[in-house]
Amino acid sequence: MRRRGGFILVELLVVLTISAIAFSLFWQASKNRMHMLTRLEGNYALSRLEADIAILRAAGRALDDIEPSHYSPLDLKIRPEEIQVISKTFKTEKILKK
Amino acid sequence: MSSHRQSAFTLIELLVSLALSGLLIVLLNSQITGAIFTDVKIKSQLEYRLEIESIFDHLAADIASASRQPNGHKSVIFHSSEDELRLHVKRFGLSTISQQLHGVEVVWQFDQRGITRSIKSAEGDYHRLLSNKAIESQIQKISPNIISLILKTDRFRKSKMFAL
Repeated sequence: MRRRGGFILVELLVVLTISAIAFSLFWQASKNRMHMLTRLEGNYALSRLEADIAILRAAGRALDDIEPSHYSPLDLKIRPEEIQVISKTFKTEKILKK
Repeated sequence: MSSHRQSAFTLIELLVSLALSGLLIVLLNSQITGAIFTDVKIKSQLEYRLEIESIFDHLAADIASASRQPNGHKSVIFHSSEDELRLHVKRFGLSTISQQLHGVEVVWQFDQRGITRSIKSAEGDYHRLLSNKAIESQIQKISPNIISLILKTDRFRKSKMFAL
């Protein structure tokens, strides 16, 4: 049987393509995992924020004791009448009124 | 020696393929190491943050079920120094051995060794390491019956309020 010229290159390209697909799948999985964990952390932070607001409300205190940097990855904007929660992981902004 | 040899890769072909593979690995090296480092970053940072969130919930459950003192406040005492914070929570718990209700003291410790939760009861002491990473902790008194536990590392700060 006579082998065709360039056959080895085709084989190599096939192997490299499979390797590239495998690598991109690994990369995508890693990225998705990071996204999922960030989203999970955002949900945790939001429920923690809601619990803290409930405690302050029950005690009749103002929401000034809320420290926005402690609720990462949420981005909080505290206004006199409400707390606006902005998160890249949530599709809509949430507003927690006083 | 037989004259009918099966067709196979020649040495030249093999060398060419190895050279091309080597070249590709060198070119993709930064991508591969980047992916590995990203994975490590996820593990060490995001998962640790989630651990802290879970610990907050766990502590909140302990404080929510703490027994009350005669003055109406929950039986939660905290001792803090520069590098250590201990929270003592007195509550009731169901023994897994005798199935009886016992008074237990749950001690939460936050220090350079990590976070531990210990249970002291008549049936014995149990010690559980929840995190082995150094963490700074601080208790902030918001009002006479509200405290805020602040946990911080170089990378993040998180806090949770507890009504006593």
